[in-house]
Amino acid sequence: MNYRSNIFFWKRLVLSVIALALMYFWYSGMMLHHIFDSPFYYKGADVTYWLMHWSGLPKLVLHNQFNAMAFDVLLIFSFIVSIAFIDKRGFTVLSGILLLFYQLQFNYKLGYHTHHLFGFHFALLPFYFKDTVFPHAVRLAGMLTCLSYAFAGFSKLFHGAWMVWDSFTNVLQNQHAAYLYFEPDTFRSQTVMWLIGHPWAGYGFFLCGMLLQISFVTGLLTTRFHKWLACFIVLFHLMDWWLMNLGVFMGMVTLVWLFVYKPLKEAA
Amino acid sequence: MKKGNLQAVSNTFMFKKRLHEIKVLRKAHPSFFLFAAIILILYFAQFAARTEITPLGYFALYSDPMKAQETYKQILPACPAGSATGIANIYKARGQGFLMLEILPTRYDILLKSDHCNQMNHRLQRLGFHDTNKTDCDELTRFREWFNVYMDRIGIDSESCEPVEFGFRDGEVKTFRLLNSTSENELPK
Repeated sequence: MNYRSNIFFWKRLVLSVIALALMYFWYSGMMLHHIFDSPFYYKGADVTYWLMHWSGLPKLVLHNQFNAMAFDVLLIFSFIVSIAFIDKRGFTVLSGILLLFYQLQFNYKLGYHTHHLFGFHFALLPFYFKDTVFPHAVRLAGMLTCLSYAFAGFSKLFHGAWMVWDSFTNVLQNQHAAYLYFEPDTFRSQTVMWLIGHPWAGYGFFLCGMLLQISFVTGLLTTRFHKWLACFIVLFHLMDWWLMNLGVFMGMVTLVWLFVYKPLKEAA
Repeated sequence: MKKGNLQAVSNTFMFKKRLHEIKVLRKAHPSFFLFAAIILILYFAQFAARTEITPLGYFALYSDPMKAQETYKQILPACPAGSATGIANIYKARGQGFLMLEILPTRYDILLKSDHCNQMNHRLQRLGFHDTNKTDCDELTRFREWFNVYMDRIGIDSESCEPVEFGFRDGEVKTFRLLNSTSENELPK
């Protein structure tokens, strides 16, 4: 395997995961043609959403179900084309832009700034650049990832959730209020109920999660601990999925590649 | 800390080496350097503003302590409309569809209560702006009808559902509140 085929291996893997995730979103009713006519117009305080709103782009794509579905098909198709023409950077850039448009318009009609695609954007970022810049782009995407985790960890530290020992237990009760009612016998419900009954264990989980997030500070300074950080990402999001039932697992775990990628020596 | 340990820390993080690498990068790939600088500045600006001003992500979930509550609230579709007992099991939805069925009615309730139906208006004002739109609130009046259309669209048979806020405790429903009402009711036993 040479320098380029190594890059193509990772590129194929990332593009395939995103394409599969988009198909799963379609199956879950999370594409634009499912919510194109919702009564929400989220703009929040984010300049990107305001610019998109003023540009009139949503009026074109979300004009009717046919347009929205055509966009959804184009989005998934663009990823398939990017995999087929793996050496053509232009297709990957186009897929990334379409993914960003999808994210903006999806959130616009959902009325909420969801983060389920955040990981995909950072995972894709290095593939937008030429081979000469590629290792630097991997480092940049890795740094952005580390910043996000570290910031989330410090946010928990400074806002004081860790100082209230039963806070996580209450979060679990709130998060699974209806789930415990509808699905009381599942393994997830049993785990959650056990943690609710043992607040110190829940507190331990929360503290570990916060420390894992803060440990990403090291990734900003050195690549020495990257394999550990890759393991932390998988571990954190497995627990996140298991205990919180959030829908960000695929997006975030795709980021792992940024921490395990090593350029082959012959290119150095 | 011993001198040897300090040296080890210094070797690990290699600050001088990193600084040198950045200088080399700036000279070798100025356009990439500019791109990276803009992204990082935007990111830090977002952290400083403590709000999402870019789609890059801002994660502060579960940072605030949460106190124990009498009941834990969740807005769910109740079918048929007007009945507070027939809660639709959103976990029967395909794939991650349950997340949509959790988020959509919750957003409706939050936006309905927000200034100009923009939940972030107070943060916009903190940044020196103000959303004064007059249409977003009018649009929300068609939510209930649309929500039923959406449920049908994702394969959940819903003749006439409406979002109702339920209060749960230990896996049981204790209270309910119709979204156009401020009063909470005990569920009939």
